[in-house]
Amino acid sequence: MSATVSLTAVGKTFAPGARPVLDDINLEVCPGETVTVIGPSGSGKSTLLNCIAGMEPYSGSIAIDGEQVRKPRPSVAMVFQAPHLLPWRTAAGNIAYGMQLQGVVGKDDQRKRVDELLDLVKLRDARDRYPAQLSGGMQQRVNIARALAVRPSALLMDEPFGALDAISKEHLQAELQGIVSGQRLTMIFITHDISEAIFLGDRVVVLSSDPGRISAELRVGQPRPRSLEWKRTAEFQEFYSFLWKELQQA
Amino acid sequence: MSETLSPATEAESASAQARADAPPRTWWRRKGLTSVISTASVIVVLAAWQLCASQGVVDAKLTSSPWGVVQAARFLINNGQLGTDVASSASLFGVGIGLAIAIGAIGGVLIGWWRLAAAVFEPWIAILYSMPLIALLPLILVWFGISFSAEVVMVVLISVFPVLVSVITGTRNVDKELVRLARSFCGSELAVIRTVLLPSLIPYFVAGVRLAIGSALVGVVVSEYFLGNSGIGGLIVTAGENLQSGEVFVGITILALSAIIMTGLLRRAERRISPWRND
Repeated sequence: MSATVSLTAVGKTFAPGARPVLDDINLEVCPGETVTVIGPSGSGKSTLLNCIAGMEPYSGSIAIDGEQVRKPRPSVAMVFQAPHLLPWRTAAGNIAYGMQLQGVVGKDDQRKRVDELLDLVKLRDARDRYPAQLSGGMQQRVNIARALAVRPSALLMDEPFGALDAISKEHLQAELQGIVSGQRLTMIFITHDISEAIFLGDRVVVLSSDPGRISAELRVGQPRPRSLEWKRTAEFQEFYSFLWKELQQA
Repeated sequence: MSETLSPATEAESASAQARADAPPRTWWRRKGLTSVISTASVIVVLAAWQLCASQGVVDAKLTSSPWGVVQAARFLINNGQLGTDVASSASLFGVGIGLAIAIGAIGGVLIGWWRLAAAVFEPWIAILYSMPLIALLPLILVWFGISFSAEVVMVVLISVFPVLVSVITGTRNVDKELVRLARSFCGSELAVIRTVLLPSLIPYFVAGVRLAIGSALVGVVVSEYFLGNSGIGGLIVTAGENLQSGEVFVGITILALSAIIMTGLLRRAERRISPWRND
């Protein structure tokens, strides 16, 4: 089941007396919805995601399926910007890692799930390779597969394609939709790339900087999964210029 | 989106797999002569030593010679002394370094991971690690007497710090992002230590043990000199007092060889337990 994520008046200040990094964030993400969050660097995008993941204290309220977030929970998986694979585990071992930490899945089911995910992210041939033997794009697929392996109801992604070249990035964006479409996932996706935000999001939220506030919201009607051709349409261009202008003021 | 569904191709990973295998620049390294040259170096020095001794350039009574050392070794093997000495030194070394590794590894993780443990123990490590521990020998003698335990204490004291300090450094240098990752998957403290910290400590641990091997040998010899006059250390001291240079060199050779062999075995063991590092 996919989750509902509700943020009410969420704020975050790192040091007492310092300017807040996040201020009065209100956001409701519906089950199965993908919300992309875009903003200039320093707007607290990653901090916001860390708070939702239960990795950082915050003020206000963050609830997932009605329950307050205080610490990481098994139903929410996080995909970091860098792949952060364990160098001493193979692709398969890394995919199994999250399941093993949560300790809910038996050994046999683990193996089956790993195989499923290797197929899903098209890395079956790389099963027994160590991260050092994988390209950046392949590492990032393992990273995503590891998060999906625990069957989360919400997926939090922190600029997962930020470090990739333009072509790998477009491929993975398109693939991500296919990967996620069968999983009934609620997704919050952080990025600083306008077209990535539009392409992946049902809704795009613009975060302004200093302090981080939601300064604009855009509903993208196009049904998912979307084709790369859609990126070349007038509708997409319109969204793009709207967000570009908003970011200038953010 | 069908045209974008590309399987991860071999080409995609080719760049990742192409390691920096640039050919070496000098001709003798290209031909793989490095080990030949190293072997020749040892042989030349030994031959020169033999030649100087047999031609009377140096006093063979004082310097002995490679052949003289072989004869001394034969003598010591035949009268059974060498076997006894090696066994006694080996057991001291084994017990000492075993304790040092256990204390260093466990203590290093505790001190590196928990700040409170660091605050409590670090001043003592700083004091002991920076002072010549041999200075403590008379005290150990007073406290433990001339005994095996006194010798063990000396060996442990002298060889625990390389492991301890290296493991502390390794624990502090653990990839914080991997720790965060493990916590994001609801990993318990113990699970984080087991799945992230311990594997990443292997190179630090091995580096510490490598240093500890050398230190423990120093500890063995020193404590045998002063605390028991037994084992290889005792052999060297007694032979030196009797002007038996050949026998001194037998002891030295055994120490050198065992250090080299243990370090080599360690390197091999490290490669076996960390197959992900393809260097």
